[in-house]
Amino acid sequence: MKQVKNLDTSLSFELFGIKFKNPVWTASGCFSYGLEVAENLYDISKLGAVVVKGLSYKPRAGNPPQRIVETPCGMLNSIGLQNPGVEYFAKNILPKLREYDTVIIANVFGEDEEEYLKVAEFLDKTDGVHALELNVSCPNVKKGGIAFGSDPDTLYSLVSKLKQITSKPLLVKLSPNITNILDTATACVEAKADGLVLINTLLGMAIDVEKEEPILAMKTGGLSGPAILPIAVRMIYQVYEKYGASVPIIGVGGITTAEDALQHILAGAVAVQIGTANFYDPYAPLKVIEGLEKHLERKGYKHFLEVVGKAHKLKLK
Amino acid sequence: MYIDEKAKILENKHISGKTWLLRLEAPKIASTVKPAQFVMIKATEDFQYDPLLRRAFAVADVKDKELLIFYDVYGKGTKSITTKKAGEEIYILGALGKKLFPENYDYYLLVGGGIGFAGLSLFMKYLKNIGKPFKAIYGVRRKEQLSMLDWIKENGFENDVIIYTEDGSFGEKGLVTKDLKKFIIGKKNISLAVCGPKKMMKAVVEEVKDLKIPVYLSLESKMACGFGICIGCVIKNIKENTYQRVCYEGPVFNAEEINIEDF
Repeated sequence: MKQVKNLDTSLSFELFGIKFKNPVWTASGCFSYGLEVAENLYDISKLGAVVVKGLSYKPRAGNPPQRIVETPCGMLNSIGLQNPGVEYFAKNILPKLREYDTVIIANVFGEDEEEYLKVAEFLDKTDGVHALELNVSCPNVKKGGIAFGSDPDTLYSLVSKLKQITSKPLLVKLSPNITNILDTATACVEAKADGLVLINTLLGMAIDVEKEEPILAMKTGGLSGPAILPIAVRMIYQVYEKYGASVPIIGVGGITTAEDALQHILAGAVAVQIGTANFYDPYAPLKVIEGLEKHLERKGYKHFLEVVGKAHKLKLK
Repeated sequence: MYIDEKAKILENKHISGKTWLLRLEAPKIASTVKPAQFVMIKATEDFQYDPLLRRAFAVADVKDKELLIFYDVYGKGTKSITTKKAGEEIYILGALGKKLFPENYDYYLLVGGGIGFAGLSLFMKYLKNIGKPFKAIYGVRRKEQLSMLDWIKENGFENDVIIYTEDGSFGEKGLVTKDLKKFIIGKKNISLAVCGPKKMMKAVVEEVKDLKIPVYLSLESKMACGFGICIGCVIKNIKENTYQRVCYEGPVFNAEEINIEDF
């Protein structure tokens, strides 16, 4: 694993040879391809990175509506990975996104191993994409629909093959919908993944009691939002406990504020992604950046990397 | 640009039935709102996450620094907005919506059902201001639901709006579709601007089908963000066979292009 280095400000750092202004990124599926925010709300150059919405090789229409439903302190979504395909992205969206001075990470998925490989191969040759994030929460069509991310052997095979065809840093976004997160985390580490992203959404369902049927057209959806914060923190903690700083962990799940982000960081995350909070507080990522700077100053830290994994201090001593 | 503005509540009162009126001082957004645009209102304080998401509301009127919103109380989100008092502040994001009613027609027939009339009132005001001929139809079940009646009188639209109640308790008795064709026939380069419940919009589209005139629907949908990033509020564009975002490719759609069953 490549080392993390301090750079010139309290939040800037280097990971996999890429310079990040700060450890606050936007999460895939919660920021579209970045342009809606860049053109209507704020300068996305302020972000550490933008992880774009999942890209497949072929365009995907996505699921029929109703696609979202609010739940207590969270929401369920079943967007169905609607996307215009990686070629369209590279030709029509990426050039505009590259006008902003931020790191661009492409989220990659496929219906089968071949499609994953085709997307990764294409992106490996695409200038302007700095790293890849693997979405393994989608069903493997050739293996009876079981998610890639729920079977360690399938995951090992997929990550190993992808590592052979891409020279770009490869992060794997793990699904929390399994019994032991260490099983899939270990498979990815053994397959030489450059980093782990913890966690994707949790599978859930909401039922309309008047109509007496599931609210989402696809019945189930991924739970996100503040409700899942403690689950993400726990899983990051578990993985960091096993691998320490040798495996970079990117935390995602339930972050709205700098305090939430700090929980991820203290558990072991070297960067965080803001997802659902973008929906109800469009400026949340910028507020988290500001809040982190203030926290470090108040606590007398020179750099946020001093805090990474610090919640483990008692045990590790 | 979209603005996330802390707006001061000037008035938040129950009108009748499940309808409330919200008057806000939001100078930045007020200076940018166009007819058919909407705002996303955050019902909770900072660090309160239930209800989590903002709610979308049509802007019914704009006066200087003020926005006027009419809303029906359906669930957690709207219910929590009713607890807000004059003098308190709430976050509103706006003005949202990219595709609005086209302006290239010579005559407009506006058809609003229930609270949906609040999605047309600003357009009606605009048409009057620029001197373009129009007529508006406002339909509800019974007169208690005519939440915009006072507004119509106060703003001098009595002669422009024809009111229909299903039970005949006010205005004409019947549905908005009852005399629809009568208002259309003989008008050149006319278009319909419609906002209301799905059933009503479907009935309007069906009623005027054989006349082959353009019908524009201003839609609402369950949305998490309101500005294009969640891809949750989609409706199917049957011409392109793609899902389009109501918040970003809408909220106004040509009825011919969409699958009305979707929302």
